[in-house]
Amino acid sequence: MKHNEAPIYRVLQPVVLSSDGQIYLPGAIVDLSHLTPDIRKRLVGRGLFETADGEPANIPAKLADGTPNPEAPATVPCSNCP
Amino acid sequence: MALPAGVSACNMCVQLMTATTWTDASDNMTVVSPPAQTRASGEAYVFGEDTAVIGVGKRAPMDVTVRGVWVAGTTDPFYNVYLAHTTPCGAMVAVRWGPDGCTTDKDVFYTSTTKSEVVSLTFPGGDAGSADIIMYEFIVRTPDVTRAAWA
Repeated sequence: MKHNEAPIYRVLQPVVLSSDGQIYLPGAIVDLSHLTPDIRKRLVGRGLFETADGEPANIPAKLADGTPNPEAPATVPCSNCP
Repeated sequence: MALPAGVSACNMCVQLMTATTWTDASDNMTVVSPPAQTRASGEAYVFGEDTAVIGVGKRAPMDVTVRGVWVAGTTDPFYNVYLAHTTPCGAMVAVRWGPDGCTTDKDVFYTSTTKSEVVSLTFPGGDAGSADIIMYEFIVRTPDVTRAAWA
């Protein structure tokens, strides 16, 4: 999946999601699909969120037998990808 | 230099949480008194100087005062506050308010969602010679108030 296709973000400051009214603290992964791309971009610009749709890139690739590969280097997802 | 836009309480919203869900109470609430939080401080004076030696300590709990329009029945926010206040050893009533509204891009402040206790409840009362709306008031004591952003 390309970055920014899924509106999944990591919380950087305490936020209240208007979709459910609940409070989310820094570190939480949230779905901002209820917001327009323009609003999401603005909230990222305010430092409230960072994109997390590259989150699987942080997980080392699995071995051939499907078990996790502890030696595989983790890659950091790009931030503010176009 | 441009003047700041400034914000009045015209669009302010107030929400309460008595269990795990926030409920909007803006249609009943009239006032949220801005709480102040102090930090303990100490001082000492020495003979050789004219000013004090200052020490700082912990932040004190905060009292958030909320006033609302009383309405009879069990659906009014007063009833939930009353139930929490009369629960033996207390029950939580967290307060969340957005000075400029509870919409995307606005800021909101909320009392602790683990420790917010009603420490005072002023029941509705009246004066035969008055046409004033009957109000009630409660004070929530909390260790801290957190700022969040609506998204």
